[in-house]
Amino acid sequence: MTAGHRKSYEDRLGDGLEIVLTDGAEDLAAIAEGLNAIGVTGPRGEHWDGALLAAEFARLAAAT
Amino acid sequence: MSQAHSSRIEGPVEERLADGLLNLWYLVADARDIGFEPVGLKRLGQDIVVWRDGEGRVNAIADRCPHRGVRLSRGRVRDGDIACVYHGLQLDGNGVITAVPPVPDCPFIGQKAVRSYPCREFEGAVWVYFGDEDRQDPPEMILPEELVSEDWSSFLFSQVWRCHYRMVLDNRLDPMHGSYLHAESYTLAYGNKQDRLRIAPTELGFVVQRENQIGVNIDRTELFHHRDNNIWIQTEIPYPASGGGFFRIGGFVTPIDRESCLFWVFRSQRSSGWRRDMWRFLYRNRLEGRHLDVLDQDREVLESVQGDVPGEEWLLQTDVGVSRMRRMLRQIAESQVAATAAA
Repeated sequence: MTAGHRKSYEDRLGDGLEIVLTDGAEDLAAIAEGLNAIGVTGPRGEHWDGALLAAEFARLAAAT
Repeated sequence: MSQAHSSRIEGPVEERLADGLLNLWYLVADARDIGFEPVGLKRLGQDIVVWRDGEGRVNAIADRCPHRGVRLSRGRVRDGDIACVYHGLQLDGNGVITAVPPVPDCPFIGQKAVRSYPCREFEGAVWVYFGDEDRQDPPEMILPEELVSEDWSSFLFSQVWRCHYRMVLDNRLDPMHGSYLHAESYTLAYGNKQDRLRIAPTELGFVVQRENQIGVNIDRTELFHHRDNNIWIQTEIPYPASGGGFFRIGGFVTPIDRESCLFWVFRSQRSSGWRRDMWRFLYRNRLEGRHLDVLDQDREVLESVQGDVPGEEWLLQTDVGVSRMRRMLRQIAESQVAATAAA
């Protein structure tokens, strides 16, 4: 994965999170379901589940 | 300094207000900017030099060699002390001369020769206590809950604003401007554009908030004043898209001189576990850029203000927080000046 792809992925995830959180998702399962419903996929194009989402949040937060 | 501004600074209270209140902890630098080379800074109109000693501790003393007045910040750090570039005099973090290389057995060694400033490193920033002549020993620093509690996760941002520090405080205690100046921003585009503000005293300061709206825009802001210790202003910004409902902005202002200041902003959210990780990602990916834009709007407006004189303003009811803050600052300045005079 190139830096360019990674940036694009993070932006899409940010967009998607704002949508599903504004829509009321409150836990990991609901957020994952919401992201899957709007076509925002995981870092390798996979569907989200709660565990993958938590691991991805931890990885992304570590970079801040 | 503009003629209009400088002509109104008369008397010790006005001087104190113009330069900045003393007996307070001030953020002076981002900790990442202070290393093992001396850094010269002007804060509250005072020139200080800041550096890390051999153990990494931050030191701050007056930026003036006692020998011939050269700026110590032009020198080097040697054995943890600062060495003047001119003749090599060395001073430690207490302002005590530790070496005078040109003269054998110099009697100046061991003498305190320049003012030293108590300093701390905390939350990614260097804090210095600016005391008046009678209060060099500082109280232990008091900080907002958001910075000391593990329950909160924060990001620090600082920027030089070319305006008087009181204008920044005015801005932070004026919630109503959010509905106008920031009306097209992501988090502040909502709510009524007309309201009245009410003010309520608290144990440590006061709260200003809108009467008919809360949790929609910048609807509430609170000033905290720990006497002889610290002043900050806390604002809550709604951000439902973060899953946490809102985040807090803690604002600190450090005067540089009478024309500029450093505005320090902590953006914090109470969260833990995966929610904290999500907040930190969303802040960096979503909010940071947006809020730099909002701060730029504030900065550009304040830098355009002509003068800093309440008598030339037509204040509105919604300036009640501005008015209260100015009164509070004046009372503190009067108290400090009176104490100095009595001493």
